[in-house]
Amino acid sequence: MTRTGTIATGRTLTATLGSAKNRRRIGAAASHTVLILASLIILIPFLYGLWISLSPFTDITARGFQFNPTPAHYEGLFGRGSRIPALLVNSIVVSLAATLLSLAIGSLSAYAIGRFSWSRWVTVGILGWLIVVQTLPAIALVGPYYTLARQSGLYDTRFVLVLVYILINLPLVIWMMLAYFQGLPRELEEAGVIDGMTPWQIYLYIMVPLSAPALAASGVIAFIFSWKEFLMALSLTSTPSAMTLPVGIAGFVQDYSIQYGPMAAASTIAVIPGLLLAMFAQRHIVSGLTTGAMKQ
Amino acid sequence: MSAAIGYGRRFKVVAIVPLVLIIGALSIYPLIELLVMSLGDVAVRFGERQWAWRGLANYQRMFADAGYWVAVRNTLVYVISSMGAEFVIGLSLALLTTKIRRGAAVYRTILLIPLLVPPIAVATSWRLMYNPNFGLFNRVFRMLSMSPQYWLSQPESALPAVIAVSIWYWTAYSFILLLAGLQNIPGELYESADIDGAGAIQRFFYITLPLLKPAIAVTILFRSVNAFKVFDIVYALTFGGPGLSTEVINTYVYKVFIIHQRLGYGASLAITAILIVGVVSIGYTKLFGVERGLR
Repeated sequence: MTRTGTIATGRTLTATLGSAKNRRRIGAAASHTVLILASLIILIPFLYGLWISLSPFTDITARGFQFNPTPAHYEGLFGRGSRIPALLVNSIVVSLAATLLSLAIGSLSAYAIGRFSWSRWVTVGILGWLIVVQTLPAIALVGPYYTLARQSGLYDTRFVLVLVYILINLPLVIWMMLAYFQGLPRELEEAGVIDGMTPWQIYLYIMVPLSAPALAASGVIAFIFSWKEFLMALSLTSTPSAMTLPVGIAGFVQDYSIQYGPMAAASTIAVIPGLLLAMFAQRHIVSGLTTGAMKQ
Repeated sequence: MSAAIGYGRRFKVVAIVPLVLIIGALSIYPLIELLVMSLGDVAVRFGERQWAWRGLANYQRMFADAGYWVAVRNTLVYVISSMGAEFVIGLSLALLTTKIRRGAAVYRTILLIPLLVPPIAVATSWRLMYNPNFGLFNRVFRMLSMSPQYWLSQPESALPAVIAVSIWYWTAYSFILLLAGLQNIPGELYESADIDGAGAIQRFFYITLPLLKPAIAVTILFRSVNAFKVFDIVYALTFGGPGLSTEVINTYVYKVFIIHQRLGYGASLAITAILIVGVVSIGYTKLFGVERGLR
């Protein structure tokens, strides 16, 4: 359905070029352009940070743009006197522990809640309270946590951070696993019962393996949330015995000067898990974010 | 109901115990503690908590505390602007994404990245970009013969500058939720609309928008609740300054708790913050009929 020779009569560009197929092509091309622009806007701060982390201070503050890469900032981070390696270890340990424990507790709880009969008070109470916990501004818990942690000697320990992160991640893990378990057919448990399995065996040997995708999705999200968490770590730790990487990065901002180079280097390191997970676990993350939202 | 009545009775109770313990110890108990703290003067000395009854004195002080209410106002401005912009941009990007055949996954991956990194980690870059002397933005401004701005160091521009970073960071959240909603709209509806000769604008307002309502409601609700919790981005960029221009609820309460160590007073501020967020959430839910829309 092409119309030729009608440009002069003021028809729209798309009507002139004609076919639906061409219109779709232009639509797609325009969409790509905008999306590429958006992608660049997203990427530029990261690339800028990378450049800062590799440039000597004179380059960072210079007028023009030069690229004289130097590993000095990174070497400083891992050299003597730097607390970054300790913070990195803390972040990894705390995030992994919190993730594994939230998955273990959350999955088991979701199975128990979703596949067994309870009085309505119990399910509404627990699930409702989980919503409250998720909605709560974290600041509300900082005060009591700080006080209780100082009283009990748990202040500035990895243990207390793991506990707090488990609480923070449990709601999402439970929502995701609940949705998944409720979608599984009853025959699975019935077959297990017929085979003489106990509920624990059914859970561990049938349910858990089957729910691997949901576990992966909630695990990825739990890890990311734990890794990037800042307020609790800032409030509940003060030395490298428990301090995490994000808090350490903030420490590069001193009263009258900001050590841009080392800060950018530490920031680039902090970005790596997120980057890797975005590249390789994108489906899981999206599924986690949308299920978590939709199912409520 | 499983195979037999009473099946798994012990299992289900035992299975729930860890969850109940954690919820009890880490959320119910601390919140009660928070309430108690707000009714007194609290200090922790030598590992012991000292509490002296003050009744509602903390709350009275709160009403006279101009700083807190500036923080509340800033937070509301932040929530509304950030969420509004993210919604519009996210929806546009989502709509565009449905128009392309390939590459959607790549764009989604890239847009997702900020969400997965600690906000402090992007603060260096943004602080430098905003730097008046050698920052990216002012370099561009000078090239275009526009006068360089003081972005983060000026009260008037500080909050918008922080909001801009927040939009950059959080747009992917709305984008993903809205894209999922769009992808749930059956293609047949659009095809029959085409056959009926509907234009793009009609398609948008009569098919897309109505069917997207649940996703829109969820996106707005979730992102708003989330936005009230802002702390990391503000801390990383300005920590509330200059003056009080970027002070938000969480940074203010944090300062009261941790820096000024006024635990009782901070608790009353925190309780008020909970009430504010609670009222807003309930208001939203009623407004959008979220529960009805989703069932």
